[in-house]
Amino acid sequence: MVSSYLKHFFRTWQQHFSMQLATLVVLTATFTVIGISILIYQNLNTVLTQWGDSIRMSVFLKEENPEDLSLIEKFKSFSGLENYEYISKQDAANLFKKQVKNYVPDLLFNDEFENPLPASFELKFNKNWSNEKVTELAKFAQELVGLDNVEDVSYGQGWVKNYATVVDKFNKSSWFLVLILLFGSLFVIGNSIRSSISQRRDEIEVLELIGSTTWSIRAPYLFEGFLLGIISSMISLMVTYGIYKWQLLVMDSGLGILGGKHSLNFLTVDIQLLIILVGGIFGLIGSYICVAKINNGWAADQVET
Amino acid sequence: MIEFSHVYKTYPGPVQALKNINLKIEKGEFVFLTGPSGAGKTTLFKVMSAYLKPSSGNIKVAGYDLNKIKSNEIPFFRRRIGVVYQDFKLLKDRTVYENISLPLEIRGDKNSYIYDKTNDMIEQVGLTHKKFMFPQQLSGGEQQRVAIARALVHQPGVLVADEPTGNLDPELSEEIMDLLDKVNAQGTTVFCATHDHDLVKRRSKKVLDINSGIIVEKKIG
Ligand SMILES: Nc1ncnc2c1ncn2[C@@H]1O[C@H](COP(=O)(O)OP(=O)(O)OP(=O)(O)O)[C@@H](O)[C@H]1O
Ligand SMILES: [Mg+2]
Repeated sequence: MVSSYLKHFFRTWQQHFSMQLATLVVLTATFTVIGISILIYQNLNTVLTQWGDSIRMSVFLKEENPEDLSLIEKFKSFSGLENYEYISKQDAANLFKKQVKNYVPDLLFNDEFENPLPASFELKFNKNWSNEKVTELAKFAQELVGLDNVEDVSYGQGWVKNYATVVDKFNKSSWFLVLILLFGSLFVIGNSIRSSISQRRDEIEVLELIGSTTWSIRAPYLFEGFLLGIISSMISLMVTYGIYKWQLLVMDSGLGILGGKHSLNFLTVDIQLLIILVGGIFGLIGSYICVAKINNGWAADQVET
Repeated sequence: MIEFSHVYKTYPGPVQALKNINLKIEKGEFVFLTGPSGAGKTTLFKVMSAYLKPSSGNIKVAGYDLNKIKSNEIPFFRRRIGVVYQDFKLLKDRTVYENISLPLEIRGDKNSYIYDKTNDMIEQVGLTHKKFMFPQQLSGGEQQRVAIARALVHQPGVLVADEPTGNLDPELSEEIMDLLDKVNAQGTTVFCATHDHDLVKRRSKKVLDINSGIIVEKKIG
C-alpha cells in the first residue's frame, strides 16, 4: 500500500521535477520562518527568566503600618511572590545613612536629621518569569497604587513595560505572520497537487473505469501532499538549526545583542515534532482541497464539465 | 443480462447518437453489434458501462439499474463487468503485467492469486514475452490484447468489447474470438462490436445491426 504510494510520489517527482522542487523550496522557507519565529519567542522567555532574578518591588506607604492586612492579603494574592519584608521609616533611614556615610559622614551622628523616607514593603518574586507574568506584574503594581495606604510603587517599570510591549507586539505580529504563511503553504501544496492531478487525468479516468473507489484514487495524492509537508518541515528544522548555530557563533565572538553565553536554547523536541506534524497536516489539507474534486461515478461526463 | 428500453443519447452539437434503443440480451448469450462507422456502437457501449449517462431511457446491466445507481455504487458495478475500450485506455506508465493485474489489485485479491491469474491471462493473449514492457513499446494489436486481458482477468459476468479485433490480423482475430467463445462458454455474457463481416459470418451468433443510432436489424449471422 504505502510502497505503491511512494512509487506514485517518486513518479510525480520524475515527471515534474522543477515544479516539485520549487514547491519544496517554498514550503521549506515557509516553515523555516515559522521555526525561527518560535525560536525567538521561546528565547525571549529565557532572557526574561535571567533578567527576572533582579526584579524587586518597593511599595511605599503613606503611614507606617507593618501589619497592614489589606496590603498583605493583596501581596499573597499574587502567585509569583516569594516573600515580603517590612521596612520601617527608621530602617529606611538607617539603610540610607549607611549608604551615604562615605559622602556625608556627619549624617550618622546627626540626631536632628529629620527622616523624610517613607516606610515600605520590599517584595521578592520567584524566578519563573514568563511574558504573561510580566504583564500581570504591571497590573499588580497598578492595583497596589490604587490602595489607600500606598504612596507609590517602584519595580523598574520602564524596562518591564518596554519588554512587555515588545513581546506583545512580536507575539501578535508573528502569529499573524505564521497564520498567513500557513495559508500560503496550503495554496502552494494545493497547486502542486493540482498539477499532478491534471497530468494524470487519463490515469484517473482509467482507474475509475476499472472500478477504483474515489478514496483509493485520492489516497496517493493525499499521501503526496502529506509527505511533501513532512519533508519540507523537516528540512526547515535543519535550516533553523543551522541559523541557530550560526547565531551562537556570532554571540560567542562578542557581537551578540543578548549578553550571557549560550543562553539561547534550540526549539524543544515537542515543538520540533509539532512543526513536523503541522507540516504534514497542512500538506494533507492542501491536497485534500484539490483531491475532493475527484468524484466517482460518471467519469467521462464529469471530465466534460 | 443487458436490457435497454427507450434509450436516447444526444451529444452537444446536438448529435443524436442513440435513438430509441430497445434491446435485451439474456445471461450467457453472445451477441455481435455491427454497423458502419459513426453508427453509435461506441456510444451504446459507453452508456451501458456507466461511462456516459444516457439522455433518457432505462438501462439494466448485471443486476444494476443504471438510472437508479448511486455514484458510490458505480465502482462496484464496474467490477462486475469487463470492458474493452476501442481506444484501449491502458495506463502508459505501467507494464503489461501491471495493467492486466489492475482489476484484481483494485478488488484487493491476494497477491498469490493475482500473480497466478495475471500470468495465466497474459499467456492466453500470447504476450508472455512482453510482460514487462510498457504500452508505448507495443504494437496496436498487442495493446489491444492487453486491453482484452484486462477486461477478462477478473472473470466478469458481462464482457463488453468494442472492436476487440480491430487492429489484429485474421489469424489473431480468430484466436481472440476463440478466447471470447471460451469465456462465453464459462457463463459470461458477451456483447461485441465489430466491423468485420467475415468474422461475424463464420460464427453463427445473434447479430444486432445499428445505423445512425437506430437498431435496424436483428438476425442470426
Ligand atoms: N464526445 C462526442 N461529442 C459529440 N459527438 C460525438 C461524441 N462522440 C461521438 N459522437 C458522435 O456520435 C456518433 C456516434 O459515434 P460513435 O463513436 O458511437 O460511433 P461508432 O459506431 O463507434 O463508430 P466507429 O465504428 O467509427 O467506432 C457519431 O456521429 C459521432 O460523431
Ligand atoms: Mg466506435
